[in-house]
Amino acid sequence: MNTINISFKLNGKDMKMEIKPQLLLLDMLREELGLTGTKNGCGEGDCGACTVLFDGKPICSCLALAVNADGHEITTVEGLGSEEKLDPLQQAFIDEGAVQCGFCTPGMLLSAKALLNKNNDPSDAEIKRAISGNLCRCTGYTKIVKAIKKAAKMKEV
Amino acid sequence: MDFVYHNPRNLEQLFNIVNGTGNCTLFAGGTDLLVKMKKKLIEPENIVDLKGIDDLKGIVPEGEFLNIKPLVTHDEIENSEIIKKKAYVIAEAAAQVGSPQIRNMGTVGGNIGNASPAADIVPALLVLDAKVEMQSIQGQEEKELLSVFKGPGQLSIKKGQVISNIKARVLAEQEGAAFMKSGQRKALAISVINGAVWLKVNGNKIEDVRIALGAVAPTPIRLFDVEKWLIGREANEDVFKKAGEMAKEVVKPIDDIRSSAEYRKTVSAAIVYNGLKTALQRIGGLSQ
Repeated sequence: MNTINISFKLNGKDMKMEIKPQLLLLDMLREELGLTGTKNGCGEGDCGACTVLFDGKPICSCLALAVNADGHEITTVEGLGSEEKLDPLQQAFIDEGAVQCGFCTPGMLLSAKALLNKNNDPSDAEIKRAISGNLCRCTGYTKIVKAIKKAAKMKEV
Repeated sequence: MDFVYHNPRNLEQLFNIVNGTGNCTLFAGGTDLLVKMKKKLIEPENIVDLKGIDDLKGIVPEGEFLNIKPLVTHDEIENSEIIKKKAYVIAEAAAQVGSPQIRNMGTVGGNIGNASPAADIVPALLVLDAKVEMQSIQGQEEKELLSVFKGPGQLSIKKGQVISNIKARVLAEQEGAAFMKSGQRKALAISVINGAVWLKVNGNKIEDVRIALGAVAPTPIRLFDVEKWLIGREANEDVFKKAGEMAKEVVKPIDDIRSSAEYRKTVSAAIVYNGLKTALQRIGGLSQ
């Protein structure tokens, strides 16, 4: 089976990989790199559990080929915050109780991150639109919206 | 999934692959293609990834048309300053597609190439008199967008041809447009019915009009009979209401999992009426 060499930025670090062209971006992250924060949900682009940032924009990693990461920048939930300090969004999700089962949380955080990167004072409507591709089946949307609003007001360190 | 992956960097390489290789499936945004492949609805032998071809990207104004290249994503359309200014009805349609993730991946060329009767971008393009340029090793061909749809998932395109450009006419003075969509919810909804209207007025008379609807027939359609009836009439609510009633009679929708034919007929009338009204408001012709 043919393989392809790709190089890309993953959570701020330069990466080189040799992969099969059939490999999904989601599977490369989870299976090859052990970054299991990105979840495999519906596999069809409906639930948003597999959301990662591709050059800063949320995409469904379950519908992307890993080869398409070549030359681009990927951010997963593991890239938020640091070992010592959580990203304000992660902290706000904890503070507001915006996590129930937690399966949708990584995707929610990344969709919210993309929003806050371009809009540091979003309205409720803007937040709801930004997370409209992320389903939470525990139905915890109210607290998630509240947490994103709170994170927008917290100072980045 | 088992396929041979091709990654052309320019159109010449693309045509060499498409002509020299067996059955090729073009890969743009992947939001429909990958779903179909995962479900084994299709099992392509050769995947030709278009994303490395810069000639298929970008939005370029040219006279009274905007050239929208096929790899432009819905997100790029929604946020393009020139589209928001000169062809806002397309931005309005793009903003209604799927979710942020899908809009960041899915492309306008893919939305056309997929030939879904419910494609959201298509009615908006149709009312802006859109043309599609198809390119092949033999050369280029320009077609009316409406003429490329043959049926659900079926495109009138010759073997070896690739959609290389989409041309949409920009909005001029005294012209207004609107996109309308009815889905089962706000996000990630496939249209139960969608539609777009373009209107040109002279004083209070309708000088020209285009109306397009999606998901009411096997392909997106133009309502030529209703358009003909409207031209020369006064632009007012009564006339628009009558046009809506006429639309209800000419569409031939089906019952499916998303809706009933009867419901789609009723909503067709509302979409045409509201679309005309909104388009006129945007020219400044009706109070908001």
